[in-house]
Amino acid sequence: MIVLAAIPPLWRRVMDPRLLAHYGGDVARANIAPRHRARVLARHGARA
Amino acid sequence: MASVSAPSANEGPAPAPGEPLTPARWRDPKRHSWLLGLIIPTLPFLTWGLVQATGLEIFWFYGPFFVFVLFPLLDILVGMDPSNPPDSVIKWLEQDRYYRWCTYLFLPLQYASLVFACWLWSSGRLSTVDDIGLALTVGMVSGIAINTAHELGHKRERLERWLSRVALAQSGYGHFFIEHNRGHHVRVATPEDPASARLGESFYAFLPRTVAGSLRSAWGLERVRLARMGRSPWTLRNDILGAWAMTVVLFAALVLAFGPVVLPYLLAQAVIGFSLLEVVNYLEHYGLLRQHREDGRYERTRPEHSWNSNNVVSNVVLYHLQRHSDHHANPVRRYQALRHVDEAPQLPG
Repeated sequence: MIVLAAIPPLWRRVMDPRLLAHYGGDVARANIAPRHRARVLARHGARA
Repeated sequence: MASVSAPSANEGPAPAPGEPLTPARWRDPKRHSWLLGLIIPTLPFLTWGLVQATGLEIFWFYGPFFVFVLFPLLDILVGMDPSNPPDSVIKWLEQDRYYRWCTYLFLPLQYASLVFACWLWSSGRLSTVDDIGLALTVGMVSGIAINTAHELGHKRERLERWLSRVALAQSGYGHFFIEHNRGHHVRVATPEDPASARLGESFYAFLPRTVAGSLRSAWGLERVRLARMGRSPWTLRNDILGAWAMTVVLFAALVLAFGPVVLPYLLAQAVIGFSLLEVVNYLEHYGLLRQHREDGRYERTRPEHSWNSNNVVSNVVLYHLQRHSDHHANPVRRYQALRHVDEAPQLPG
């Protein structure tokens, strides 16, 4: 996992769907980085 | 070297209903595996031995290879072990002093290897590239020592809290002991916590935020504590300054003994060490958030606010750090008694 963390695109591919599944698809319940809020909501928000 | 126990539910025959499980019936399958954690502080010796045995200088880089390649592979090979000690033996397990010695022994090995590395750096026998490889290897020890300090720093015993600060001296991360216990554990999985990574935040964005934020938080906590006693923060009673003084004394002694040539490597291994610790921190709470209650406060910390993993090898080396939900629920609980929690989100295996 620490190797994955060092490669952000890979980390996001593995962890972001996992986190989203944890919140039942409701991305708004996650701790979202303010700088990336718009991008994250645009990518995952529609599925909620 | 202790071998890693294969994943098993090595808990003996199931007791008859109503029959209490007693330590006499239950054996800790990981008991001897905890000694494996002591390999980490011997890495600089191991590295030197491998270079001597093979004549290959690439082995000066063995430390990062061990941590970033060998251990993840071993994790895949050995697999997971979700088995828990039965509730009835937790108290007994915690009072067994054997487990404490597994962590105490980390420290003499840690500092013997640091002195050995300084001797190598000052000897002029290594090329600059090899010196850098050795600094990376020593940095792995430094970083994992912060995790050992984490285990020790949560305890009520004075000795263990002192040993925690000693273990942190090598990385100059003495403030971690304050921020982690009084800051992180209170604000975990909220946007206010500098040590909880956020969704969309890469490790490289998290690293400067957590380093600066933790420092600011630790200083604030100590300033408030000392102000309540009517004191200024500029005193050695300030636990941050006290812990950093240990680092200053340590580095000064090593520079006096081995010459100023070791100073850049000492600084480099400290930065590598705390960066390694912060990668591990990055995993623990990524994107997880405590929701607001009706009164506007955060809900209390629950198992779903930490990522967990039952990988045997990394859990043994990190003293069950990845059974992180139980750690946040019971911060004083000793590593050998931490449990897998079903409700906790799991990191991929």
